[in-house]
Amino acid sequence: MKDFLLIFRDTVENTQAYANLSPAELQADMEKWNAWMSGLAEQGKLVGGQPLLPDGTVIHGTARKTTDGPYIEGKDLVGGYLLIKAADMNDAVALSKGCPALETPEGTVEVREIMPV
Amino acid sequence: MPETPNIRPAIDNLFRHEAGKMVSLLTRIFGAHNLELAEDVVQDTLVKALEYWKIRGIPDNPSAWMLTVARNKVLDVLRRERHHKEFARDTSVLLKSEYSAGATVDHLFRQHPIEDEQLRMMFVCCHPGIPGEGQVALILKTLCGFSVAEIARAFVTNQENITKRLFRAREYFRQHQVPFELPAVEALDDRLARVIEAIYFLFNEGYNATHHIHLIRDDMVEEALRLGNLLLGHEATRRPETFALLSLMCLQASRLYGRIDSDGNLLLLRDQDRSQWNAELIDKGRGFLNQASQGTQTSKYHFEAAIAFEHCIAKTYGDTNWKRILQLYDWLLQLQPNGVVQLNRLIAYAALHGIAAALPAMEKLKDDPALKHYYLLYATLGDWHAQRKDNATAADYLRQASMLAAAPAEKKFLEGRIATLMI
Repeated sequence: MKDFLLIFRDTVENTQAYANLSPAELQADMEKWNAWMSGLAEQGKLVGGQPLLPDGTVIHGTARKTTDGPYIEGKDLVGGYLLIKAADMNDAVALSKGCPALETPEGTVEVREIMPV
Repeated sequence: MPETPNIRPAIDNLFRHEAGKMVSLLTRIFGAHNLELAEDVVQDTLVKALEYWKIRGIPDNPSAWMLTVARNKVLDVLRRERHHKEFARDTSVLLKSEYSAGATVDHLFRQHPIEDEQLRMMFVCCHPGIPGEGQVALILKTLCGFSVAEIARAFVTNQENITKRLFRAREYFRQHQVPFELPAVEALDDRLARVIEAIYFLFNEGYNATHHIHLIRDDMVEEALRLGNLLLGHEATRRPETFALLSLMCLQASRLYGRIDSDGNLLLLRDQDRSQWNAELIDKGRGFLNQASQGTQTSKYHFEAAIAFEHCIAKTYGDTNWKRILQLYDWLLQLQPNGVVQLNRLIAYAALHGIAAALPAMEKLKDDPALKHYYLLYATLGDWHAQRKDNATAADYLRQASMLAAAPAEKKFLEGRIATLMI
């Protein structure tokens, strides 16, 4: 088994759309994540992760110029990350395809293998 | 390395139920005039719960987790708004002080069982200054965690309409500084009657909503029962008519699934499979009816529950104690002399004395303006004429009924009957 990092991204608009969902709709979303995470856990492939707040600061290059987020310019809002175990990249991608982060057309999951020794 | 998430199934309706609790609690803190603020803070809390839990899993005590988040958000609001807003009248001064805000909020979060705050919220929603349809929309929004879209679907109206009703109600609270408390003893009876009526309305909307997706229908029936039980939990509102309401709702709910066959078609009472009725709910209804009769007050709910009970305990349609039911309708009619009660009374009368004896009075009900658009009057007339083999008149009435019926299931049922008359 290898280690993989999944990075969840979506647009600012899609992320903010949660504010207009009803409690029942929020719960339905919660249950989708729950089902997906349970699937990973049952296969012993779930390690753990963290959600991220939308705000942040980016420090740019040699000038150390800073810009503050959220980053309206695109799909670049990272909502959180998850560490999982998978046999290989194909397996990791297959597992990630069921991720509810992909329920919006703009949502992405970036799958990266953690560099082994 | 982050710890392994807690993976467990979410409790059914957790978000909806917690929303209802938290809106009540936060309205108690901010005051009814700041209802929208309370709703916004609760929404933020729910969104945070989702964003956190989806990756970290659901915590051991999700309800306490949400309350902690809500408490911190309340403190943020107090800090941000203390120079701009007045909060709940009795604690506003304490909440506005940097020194006492934290302790006061903690105290308010712990002070009462949350059920008491929900009870107060119910009475605030049913303030006499809010029209009936606004009261029910407000209860669904604040206490039951329904969205505007869900309420609109439940009432078969558009979202704009519901938004307007809610807006007017919030404005009323703001302009009239409606206090977040149970009314004083002398006003309690009147307000309790409104609360009970709103709950019963909610129940009926759910119960009769054959045209809605089952989910919303069942949720509304469940919410009405839950709110009714909240009334029983408080001494001031544990009254004979509260028991009668609960009895009526349990007895009606016991037949919820017997009314529809496996293909989703409506069934008349006489055609229903009585083994499908929920015995547990009938038992509960019986218990509540006994408790309702311990007192001197009788309400329309007493009679309606007693009538529902007679139907529930009859082994077959033929075994129905129509004599007793007719007597109960006679009493109900004295209390509520309206066309719908008269119509139902005549059905009982016909069951006892024959259709011919009841038909002239039933035909006369067509002159009652309140029944002009009531499809069940025409459906009954159609049914009676069909039983008297007057198929042409029957079909005419059934066609009128079908035009007036709102629900596709009702229309389908009536059109099915018309078709059999034509053969």
